[in-house]
Amino acid sequence: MNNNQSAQSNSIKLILNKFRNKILDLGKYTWSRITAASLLSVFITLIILLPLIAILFNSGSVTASKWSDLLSNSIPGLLANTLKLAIIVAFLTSIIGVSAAWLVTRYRFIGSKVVVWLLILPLAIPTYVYADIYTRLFSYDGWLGSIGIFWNSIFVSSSEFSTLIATSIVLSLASFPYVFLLVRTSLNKSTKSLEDVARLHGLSSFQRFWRVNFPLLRPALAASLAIVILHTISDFGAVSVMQFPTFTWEIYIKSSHAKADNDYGPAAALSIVLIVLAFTFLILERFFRSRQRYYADDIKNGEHLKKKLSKLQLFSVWFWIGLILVFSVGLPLFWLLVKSWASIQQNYINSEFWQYTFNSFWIAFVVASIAIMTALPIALFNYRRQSRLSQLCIHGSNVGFILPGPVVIIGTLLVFALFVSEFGSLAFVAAWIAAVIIRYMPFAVQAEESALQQITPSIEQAGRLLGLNAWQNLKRVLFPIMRQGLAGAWVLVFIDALKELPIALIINEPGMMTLPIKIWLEADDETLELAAPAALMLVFVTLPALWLIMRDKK
Amino acid sequence: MKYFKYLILLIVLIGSGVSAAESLVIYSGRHAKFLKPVMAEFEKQTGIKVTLHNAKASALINRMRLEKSKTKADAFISNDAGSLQIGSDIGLFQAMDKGLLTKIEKNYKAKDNTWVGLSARARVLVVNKASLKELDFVKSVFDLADKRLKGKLAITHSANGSFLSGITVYVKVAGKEKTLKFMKGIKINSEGKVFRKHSKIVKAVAAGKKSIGLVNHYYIYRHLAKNPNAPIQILLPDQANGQMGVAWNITGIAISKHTKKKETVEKLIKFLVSKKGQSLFANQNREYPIRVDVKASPEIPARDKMNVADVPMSLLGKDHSKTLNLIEKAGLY
Repeated sequence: MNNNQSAQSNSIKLILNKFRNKILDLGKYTWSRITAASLLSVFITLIILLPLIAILFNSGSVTASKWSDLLSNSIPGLLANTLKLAIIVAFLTSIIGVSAAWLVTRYRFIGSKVVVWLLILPLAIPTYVYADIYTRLFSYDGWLGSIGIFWNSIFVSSSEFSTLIATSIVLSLASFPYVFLLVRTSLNKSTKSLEDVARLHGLSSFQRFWRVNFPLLRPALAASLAIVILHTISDFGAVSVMQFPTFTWEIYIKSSHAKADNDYGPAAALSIVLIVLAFTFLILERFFRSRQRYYADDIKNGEHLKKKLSKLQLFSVWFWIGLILVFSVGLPLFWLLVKSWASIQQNYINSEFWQYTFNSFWIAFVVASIAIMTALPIALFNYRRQSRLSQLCIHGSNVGFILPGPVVIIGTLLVFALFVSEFGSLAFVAAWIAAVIIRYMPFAVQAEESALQQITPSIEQAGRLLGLNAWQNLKRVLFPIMRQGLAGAWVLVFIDALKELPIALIINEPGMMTLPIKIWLEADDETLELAAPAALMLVFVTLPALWLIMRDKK
Repeated sequence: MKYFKYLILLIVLIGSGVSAAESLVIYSGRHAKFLKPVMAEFEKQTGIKVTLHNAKASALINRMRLEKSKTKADAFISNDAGSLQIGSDIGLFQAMDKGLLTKIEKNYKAKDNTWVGLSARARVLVVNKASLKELDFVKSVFDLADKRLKGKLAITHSANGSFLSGITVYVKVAGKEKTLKFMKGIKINSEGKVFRKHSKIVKAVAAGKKSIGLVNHYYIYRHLAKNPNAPIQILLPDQANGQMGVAWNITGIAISKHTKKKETVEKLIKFLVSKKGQSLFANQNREYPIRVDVKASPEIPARDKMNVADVPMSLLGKDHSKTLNLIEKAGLY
């Protein structure tokens, strides 16, 4: 009997048990007593869900014959495109992310510590910047224009297939760090003895990876791929620059037609199909996350042996890592630096530029601050008395995970239109901020949840016994402990709010130009070099935030 | 909380662009690059400062519809007659002084004088010279649906204003069935690939990646100005006797219903329909001045030798949603 198989069937049994327990567990939660946290939590969740509800209502205007038009014409193509894109990106990010994580965790080579940092840098570069840079690098007069017909024809796309491949490559370069990060953590934590036994039995490095480690890191891989896939299907930046028709792009297009009233019929209908699609992935993600636990509570074991490499091996490791780094970080950043330098010399860094930067900054600042405040009651409610209701609130507040930007802002504007008869700047900016908060709320809620999970209830109980009321307890006991978690949540939301494109683009408030809008507009005119300083600025502003997150992870 | 107070203050400050000097805010769907020289000349002549807010014309219409009386726009410029007429239909504009429009043909202004065309462009074909022989059967846009062009045709996204309005003209002249069949055909021939911009279509045709593309005429000449030796040329479709003629679309201007500066906007319109204004406005982009007595750029096909489809531009707005439905039926991206 194959060892591998029996280990596998064992692990499957474990997972099924866990899953069954989890379902049975639900029974013992009760509808909780009414508290300030629960009321607030329910209230906030309902507000977060309003745009989705508005979209659902709006799709009611789509007649049966229009549905059948959509179902027989646009939807099959969009579905195929979206799925193809998700599958190729999942495949490419797995290869890049897993291989890099394996090399970094199992081998000792010069620069391996720096490499870890460099490999997460792509998180600071928005997908629309990648897409712009690569189309320009490979165009006839670009730096790589003469590198070869094959790449050239992929990025200067003239067929649906080459657009698909080019978009996939761009999205993979931008999102493989998610896979890298989770798989690396999993590889660091995996039981050393298993690998030692394999080594004693004479398994080669590749065999040890494929037969011992790979089955163990599958949950981490699946969880990270779910994130990558959700990012891919809700991506607006890359698909809009590459003009690859996916649901998110088509919803944006359909919503931007001039309308006589607030009827978003077809856009709303497509949104619903997309939501169903994304929801399927979210369920998968939840499922795999519940799987992830069984190895995480492994006994602590010694650090993994990091093998020293021969010269030839060192060369090949560096070649592979170098290849990944050149295309994901080196080339784009170098291009941005060169073009920014040209812009600086031509005085494009003027007061307008600082105005865009300031606008981006304060919007992201406000979004992140409100998001962590509003996420708190939801996380707190679920931490203090977990119940069906609190779980519903958590799930409800996660809606931003599955709603792409264009859908959120259409929904938000629909809701606003119920209360505001004439939109001034205040209404538009408020809708903009609200939509971005809803979009990135899940990050805040999850980060705060995990910060709270580290606090044992007895600490809070002790505070209560010593005579603090709920609010004092929160202020004097919980806040100080979870401060770092809150900061992490704030940073996560801030980074994404800073890069957010489609919502800002649809609102497009006069006098409120932001860095992402500027970049997108210049890219649309094929004058990205004018926006290079803006893109570089986005990256620079994100760097310290990224550093904070990585520091927390350790 | 105290920060929130400052935030509100900040938003209010940003929102209220109070200014003493005479000035106009224009929501513009036309590229700023083409408008800035014109507005600079206007400012030089009158001292009136013009601020442009650029976005897609359709998006600006949707914004003005939500803003109602709170709109910041004094005027609206669109590169598509469709958006102008839709805005007019939902009451976003007000009628301008009829006296300004005497030199403009009736197809190119609103019946109720709520908008006026300033320049016109033709929906034409760009072909690669090397492919001329194999394309000799193409005499009409409807020939683009021919099976022989599979993989050789380049089109933009169907949401492009010029593309949409072109379709509206075809439906009006050739009928719904024929246009639907046409769109299904070009969907097959373009093989699911849509181009982001007309300029990219011209580039692809010049590079020989595609043999033929459906574009606005000026993109061809813009490319030729930069690359004089590019192997491309224009092909005017539907010119024979009994054929519908080439589809036109216009760039035009309207006065916002809620502006307090109607007279100032009318000064601008007066300038734009003057001979000097017309020449400056249209030739920035090698378009046809809307006034027949103003000369167009010499390199583009002469308008009096061109057979133009006889369709009032207001139709591009009136039939907008019908066209959208038809495009959805054809399943074009």
